[in-house]
Amino acid sequence: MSALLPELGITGVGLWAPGFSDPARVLAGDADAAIRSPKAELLPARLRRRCSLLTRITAEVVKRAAAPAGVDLGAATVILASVYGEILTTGQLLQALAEEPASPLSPTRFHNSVHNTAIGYLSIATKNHGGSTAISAGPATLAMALLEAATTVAAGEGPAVVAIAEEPLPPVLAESGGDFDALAVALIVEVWRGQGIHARLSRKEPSACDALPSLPAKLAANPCARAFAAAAAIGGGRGRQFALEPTPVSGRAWVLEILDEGAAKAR
Amino acid sequence: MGSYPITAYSASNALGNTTTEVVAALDSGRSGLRPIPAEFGIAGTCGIVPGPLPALPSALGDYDSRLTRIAQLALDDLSRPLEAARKRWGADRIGLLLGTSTGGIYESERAYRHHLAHGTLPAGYSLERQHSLHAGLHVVRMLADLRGPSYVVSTACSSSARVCAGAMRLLDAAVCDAVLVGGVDSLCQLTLKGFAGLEVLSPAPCRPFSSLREGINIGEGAAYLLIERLGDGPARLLGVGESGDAYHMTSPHPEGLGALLAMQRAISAGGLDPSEIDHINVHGTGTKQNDEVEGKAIRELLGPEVAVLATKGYCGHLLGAAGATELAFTVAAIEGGFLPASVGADPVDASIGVAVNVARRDFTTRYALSNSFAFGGSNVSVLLGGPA
Repeated sequence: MSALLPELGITGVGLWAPGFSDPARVLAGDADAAIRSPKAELLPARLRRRCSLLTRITAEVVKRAAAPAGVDLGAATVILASVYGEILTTGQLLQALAEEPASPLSPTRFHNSVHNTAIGYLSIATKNHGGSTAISAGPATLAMALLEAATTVAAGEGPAVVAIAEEPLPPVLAESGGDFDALAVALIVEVWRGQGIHARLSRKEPSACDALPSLPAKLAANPCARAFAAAAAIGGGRGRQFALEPTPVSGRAWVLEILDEGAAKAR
Repeated sequence: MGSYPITAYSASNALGNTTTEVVAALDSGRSGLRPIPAEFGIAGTCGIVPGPLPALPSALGDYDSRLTRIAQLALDDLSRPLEAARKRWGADRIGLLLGTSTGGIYESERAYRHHLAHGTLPAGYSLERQHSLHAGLHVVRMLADLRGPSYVVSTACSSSARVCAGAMRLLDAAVCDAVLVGGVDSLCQLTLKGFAGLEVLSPAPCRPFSSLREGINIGEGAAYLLIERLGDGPARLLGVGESGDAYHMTSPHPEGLGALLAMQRAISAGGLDPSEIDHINVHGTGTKQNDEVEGKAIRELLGPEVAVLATKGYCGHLLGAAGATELAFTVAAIEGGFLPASVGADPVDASIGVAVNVARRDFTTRYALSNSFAFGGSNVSVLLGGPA
């Protein structure tokens, strides 16, 4: 049997990193020093101040992608993808366990350390009773998030909001995992109905794929750098085919193809 | 949604290292809960895999962790069915979806202690190979020799029930012809002391749905279900219902709205009527509030008569591995033609108003639900049926 994935319409693209909130400026390598902290307007103001950076950048890009597309976030399926998730909060808990082994942990920090924290807060803020999820797949995180989105909209549960976010590592863990900046992207994925960027997801030899735009070193070192570069290229209208993961041993990778020349030029 | 045979399953947890030991304990009503070992630095009761936990093959030695060892232990029982599935479908067409909430946190706890004492991370510790969620995924993918799509779901305590939803979508969209789903979590200080901080740990063995319940026990383990497009197996995956409470990070919706929606959606995905459900494996953590709210949702949707089975008294709450573990229990009950005792539930809390099964009995299950609810109001209910 061959895959029955529908053709997709990407109806919204949002991204955020220190210095960047606009795909075109990422492509131009033109950072804006004024962009330092995400607004995270989807979250209530009191909650926003207590939320992790990961939760705030997730909220930021979901709004940036959804607002122009007019997506009802109360009815969308949100797919949060992150390699290390709420790693700063987890690091605080690990530090507390090492330094004060006799004490119980902060209950708030504990429940804010789960991978689906941002989904929990976003669902409360948007009154979303749907089946949103939080996933991770290492270097294939972008590919698997888009595959989950494609199969979700294929099943009639949509639109899907793919949010990929990664915050910096706490200092102890950065000694192993490296020093990088936060980044987040969101893509609104629907079944193609003539709206947005016409695209297809398939598994194939990635030889014909376009090179992804290069990023500043502190973003390029982020485990979700590929997602950020791809979102900038898709949103900025550069390129036709993107490898969504490093090529596996099978030689075939998940690839996103932009199908419609006219739409690609117009965007 | 289609209907897909579950052709094989396995579990390792406090009840035993092997699936045979686990099912025998379930059949005999023997709990595997025991005192928390001293190394975890907290008193109480937990469900620990008896072990020993064999080391990984040398090619995967860099990925050694308590989590990957537990993941490997439960996979041992599936080597033959996996080989048959690879032969039938090709490794490229078999997906792997794994639920975990802890990942390799146990190793990171040791790494932080070492860093505090010596100022450096310990030799052999890598964030990617020990701590990350995808380390366990990589190890299982390599051990099972699967090359289809693979990812981790980490929605806390609903993680390894939610993987069934992803598997159905991959099968429905013909991206895969088979999917290995599962869950794995290891005991660690972070979850034990985190739940202690929330003041929901029971010092004694937990007693879900009992009037004497005092809270939860944390457990560890792994479980897998092999779901195929076609084939013979002890049970079928018929539908998955997912929902969000949109209410609170840790407290369930007081009316059980999310639980109700998840169960309703699972039943409707399977094209059934609520009256057709023969038994339900509840989330049943054993806290006062969780059991009350889940009971309320069950009463409202399925009525007070449906057989309710609470199994966390056997092995504790396996968090990210709870969903797959309790699905394995449900398949074992369907296959064995019995309903296990809800160990620890007697005396049942009559105020909840549901029919908790307290003693083992012979029982034919045509259709069963298994519930998993999580932080963030993340709810999943999975509908299983007997063989076609």
